[in-house]
Amino acid sequence: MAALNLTTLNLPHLPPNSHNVHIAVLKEIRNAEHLRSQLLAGNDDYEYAFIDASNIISTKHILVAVFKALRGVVEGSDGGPGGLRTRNVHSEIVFSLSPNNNISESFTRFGIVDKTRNLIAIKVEVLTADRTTPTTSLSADAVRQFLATTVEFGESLPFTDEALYGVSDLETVQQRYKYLAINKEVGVVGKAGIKGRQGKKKSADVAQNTSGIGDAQKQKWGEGGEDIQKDLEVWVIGAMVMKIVG
Amino acid sequence: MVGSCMTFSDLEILAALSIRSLPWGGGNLMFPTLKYVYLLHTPSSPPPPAPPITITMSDPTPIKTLIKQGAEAHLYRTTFLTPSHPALLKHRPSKAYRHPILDARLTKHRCLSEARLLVRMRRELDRSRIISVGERGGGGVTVPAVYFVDEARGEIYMEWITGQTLREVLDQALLHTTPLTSSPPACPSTQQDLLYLMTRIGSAIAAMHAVHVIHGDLTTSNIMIRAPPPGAPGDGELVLIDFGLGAVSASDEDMAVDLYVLERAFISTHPRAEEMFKEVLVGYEKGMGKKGAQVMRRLAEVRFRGRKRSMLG
Repeated sequence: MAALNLTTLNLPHLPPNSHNVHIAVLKEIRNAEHLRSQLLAGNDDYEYAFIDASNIISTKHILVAVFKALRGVVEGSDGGPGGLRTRNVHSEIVFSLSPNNNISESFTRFGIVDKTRNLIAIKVEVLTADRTTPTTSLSADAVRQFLATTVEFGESLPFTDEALYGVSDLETVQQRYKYLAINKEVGVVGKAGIKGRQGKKKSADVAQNTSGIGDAQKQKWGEGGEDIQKDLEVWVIGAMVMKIVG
Repeated sequence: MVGSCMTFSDLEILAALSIRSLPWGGGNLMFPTLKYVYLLHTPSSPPPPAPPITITMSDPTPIKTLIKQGAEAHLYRTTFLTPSHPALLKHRPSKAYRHPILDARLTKHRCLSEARLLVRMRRELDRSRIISVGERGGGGVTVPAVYFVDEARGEIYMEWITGQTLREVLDQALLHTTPLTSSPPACPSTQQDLLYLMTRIGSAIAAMHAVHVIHGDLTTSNIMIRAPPPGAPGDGELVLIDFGLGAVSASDEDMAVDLYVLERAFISTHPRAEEMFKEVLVGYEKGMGKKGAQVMRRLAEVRFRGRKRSMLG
């Protein structure tokens, strides 16, 4: 069994100590079919957000979805925005990724499918009011144990932009979020060198989020790829938060 | 309508990464600022698994600093998702004098319409930025990226723009007698640079109008010049902010009123700024192409009669 990287984190702008988010990025999985069938059968042990990694461009992309779902759960009780629109917080994460309001479509597009090869598995541990875990089955150890024994995977990647970039399929992302038309235009300009983009190129935001993956981007996007990826990320996040792609 | 909205004029120049120095000096962790991160290994292979790396933050609650307060909203500087990622939080507090149901609906509607406009416009401008950038390279026009919207609470999290407002730039350039060489990077250093900046602002407004977005409250405080990254050549990107009164429209009248409002803002703040505004119009007309002349004609009408809102419909 290969080593399993599990990232556990806490998001800001939510009540402190209200939740833990466990995230694993698993490459080359072989039993997607099994995982999906258990999910569909409603097996509680398999209640995870299983996301097809080819749809995801960055850690921020994922974290916005988790944040959106968690705002509903954690803050829902004290009069915040109305709870969940899907069955549980994990399905809500998958639904949050969608740029529109079609729930079942969001599962088939962003969730695990039979041919999924690279998987992002997320387990959210919502802590009770006294800030203790309600059940031990949700702890980081338990999550790690479960994933390690249940998912047949080739490699476990760290939860970083670099790793996600390596397993993302930019064509798919653009299709999912309807960004294709723009890419075509940019592609044309790309050949001319995207002169006008210099000023934007090393803006603080870009340097911060995409440092170190410039070369990979150039391979995938050609010259000026960092900016295009940044633009795409901004659009993707905007589209999923506003649910504006019909 | 007049005076009912936020301005960002007090945004300070803050280096994006200097907000909160990381307690352990950064390192190569992806999320240096998370409450804790486990990097665990299953104990299948020797050597034995390293103990989990646990990072504890002293204060997991993100800092919210009020930077501006208007009639409609409060602006905070805060962080989004990770404490190293600066963000602006625009919060529309509920108004006690309104009926609660109406209040909730208004807040929700305004929040959503502003965010929707920003998201759509950002994409349109990404598309046209290549065309609209200045001839000296760099310095296109954009709007802040939207990170998250909580319409029920009236919150929009958006991109933090490091830079100056046009108002600050004009103040420095036109009012102060201090030598311009000591001005911050975003501030143009010569008269020629200043005029060029005005042309760019004109074409930025044209780029916005070209995608049929009306700002609704175009003032010198609502146009920002992003500080170019240190050492980078070229001009700072222009960022149009505060679309709280924005709308989608393709009518000459609305576009002319946008320009008229900006003209009033120019004139009322700096006597010398009138000549500056001429350059804005030059850039605008050039950027608008055929429609430019129409809007100019309309602007002359609006100047004559003042701003009127159509009460039809």
